[in-house]
Amino acid sequence: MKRLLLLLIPCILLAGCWDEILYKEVAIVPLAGIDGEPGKVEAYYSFPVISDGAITYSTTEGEGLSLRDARNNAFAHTDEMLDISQLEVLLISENMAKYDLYKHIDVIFRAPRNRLSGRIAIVEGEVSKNFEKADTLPVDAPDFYRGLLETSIKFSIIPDIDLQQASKYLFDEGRDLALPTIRTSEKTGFPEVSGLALFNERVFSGYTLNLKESTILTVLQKKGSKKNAQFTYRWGENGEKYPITVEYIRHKRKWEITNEKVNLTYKYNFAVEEFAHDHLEKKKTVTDIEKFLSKELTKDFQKVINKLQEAKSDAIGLGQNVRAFHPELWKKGNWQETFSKMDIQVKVEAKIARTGIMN
Amino acid sequence: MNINLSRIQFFLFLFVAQTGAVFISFQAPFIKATGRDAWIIFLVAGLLHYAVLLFFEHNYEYFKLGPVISWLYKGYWLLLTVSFISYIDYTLSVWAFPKTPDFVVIGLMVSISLYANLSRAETVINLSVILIPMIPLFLLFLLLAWPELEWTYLFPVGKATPLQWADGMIKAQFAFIGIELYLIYRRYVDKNQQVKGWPLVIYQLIWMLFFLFSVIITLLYFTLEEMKFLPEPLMYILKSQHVTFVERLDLFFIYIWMTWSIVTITLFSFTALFVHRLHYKEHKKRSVVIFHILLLLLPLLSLSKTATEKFNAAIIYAHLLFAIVLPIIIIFVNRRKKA
Repeated sequence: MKRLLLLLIPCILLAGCWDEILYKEVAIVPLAGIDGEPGKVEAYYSFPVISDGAITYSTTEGEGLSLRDARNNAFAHTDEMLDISQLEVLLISENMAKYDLYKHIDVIFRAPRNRLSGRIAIVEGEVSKNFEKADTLPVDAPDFYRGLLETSIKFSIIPDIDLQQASKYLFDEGRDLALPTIRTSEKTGFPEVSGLALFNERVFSGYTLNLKESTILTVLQKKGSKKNAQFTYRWGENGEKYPITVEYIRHKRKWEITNEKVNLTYKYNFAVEEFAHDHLEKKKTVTDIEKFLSKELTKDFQKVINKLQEAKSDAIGLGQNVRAFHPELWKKGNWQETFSKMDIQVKVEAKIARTGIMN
Repeated sequence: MNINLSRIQFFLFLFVAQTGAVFISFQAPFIKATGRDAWIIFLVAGLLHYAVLLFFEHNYEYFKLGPVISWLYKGYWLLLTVSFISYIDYTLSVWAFPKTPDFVVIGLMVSISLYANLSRAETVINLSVILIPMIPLFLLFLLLAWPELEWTYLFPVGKATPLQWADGMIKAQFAFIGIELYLIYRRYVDKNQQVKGWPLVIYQLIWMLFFLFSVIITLLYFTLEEMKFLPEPLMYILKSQHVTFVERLDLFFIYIWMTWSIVTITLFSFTALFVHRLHYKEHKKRSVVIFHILLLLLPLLSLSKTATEKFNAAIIYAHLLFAIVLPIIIIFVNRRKKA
């Protein structure tokens, strides 16, 4: 029996040899891009190459009927075997996003080896330009794009969405996807996060939110971190204006949904980050600021809601609650249509809970 | 051959046999059949499971297998084990070893069962112990998905049609597979240890919470639309998690599942050979080897996705016959004889 055991152990160790993939045999692609249109997909891949002992990033492209077909085509242009199993950022052109997004990215979800925690973003204009300019970036392109998105996520400028969550919302009838948008800055010439692209079911609606609006959407959403979200306004007293920046601490929300109307009430606790006027020890000043913030935030939040309705994009997730608890409203028809026509009112109540180390 | 089991050994044996290969494949067909009410239907199915256990506990002494019936049971366990092996091999080839030849993977699984079954009975009975730390680890990994769970996915409730209830009760039977082992081994449990009453309730609760947890976490994580094309949703949840210590959490887990499944295969093989030895005491080793040669060869005939799915669907009906219908008939016939 001991002999059998001695035979078994090496057998177990041998299992999987057939499936061994060595790093030297493949080119790991941490950054990929998709452009084109259905049936004529252009794919761009950025992958590391070692030359003179240093790692630099090279780019190749392919064209085909689908993303996989385009990758196979890209093999003709490179001596490397492209491997997207450790994809960190996927860039999709806004033109491509106007078609059913899932159809283009199914291959990423189908293969078991692929990482689903990578980021996904919509690029304003052509994707190819982002790859052409990769050499001019201050750091390697994959690190740059990942850092760009993750910094915005850290400050709740955009929601924390990865590939898996994006796929989930594409299939959720009660919530629409909102993906970060990237554009090339006119001033610096570098890519920058410009806001959010609003989706209607599985296609990009053509509507986008700017950075301030996307921060508002992030704090309006049901789920996801809202840490470090900040809002800045100019508060006035005796004809003088003072900028005030507040940072999100916590919130309570109350959604009242009826068949005709939706009332959204959000109560936020904020910390004052910047306020040159000072004198926050005075109750009157604090009350005035709270009223001012409540009014301004309500106004801006309402604008975002109106924009979402215009885009027919429920990126907040109201539909999830409607589907669960308001069957009559849900059955009125396509939720995005119902959402766009409903009377949705938002009310924000701001409270200053912290003032920092100064009053 | 006579064996003596402690109460814990008995329940652990039963738990591993019942969960083994099915616990990653059970959720998808069940939720597809029942929709959002899956968790409620499973609660009701759980009550049925407890009723079956109570019935078995009350009547296990009347469950005696004659030579003919025991051949039928051996055939059933052989088919069940073959279906497990086919499914495990197919799943492993999809998730972990796409290029490794099937006979190598199957050979490894079967050789472990062969080794265990050629050893003393205690080896097989205590084999399940190695899974004890893996079970909470598996649950813990799944809980990493907590921030992504959407509780409204459980509602609205009470929308399942009678047809969905019926289909759901059938699909829930995947989680019942192996329950007949209760009747086989109950008589060997130490007479000084109590089984009925609280110990049985606790076993039922562990079994039910384990499967209910897997159903609820699947419902909370995926939309029903996504569920239509995910055959192993638990694996997909693990694959979606990003952890710093391993690139692919699903691979880490698939090895846990593989170990779990190999132990299950070993337990069912042991049971078939144990029942065989009740009537045929000679050529012990030869029976073990023949049984394992069949385990090695038969799965090679059903390794495609369609064949595996058809095989699994058919096994449910075989299970209903061998775990519910036949035991009831055997018990009532023997009770009448005794009366």
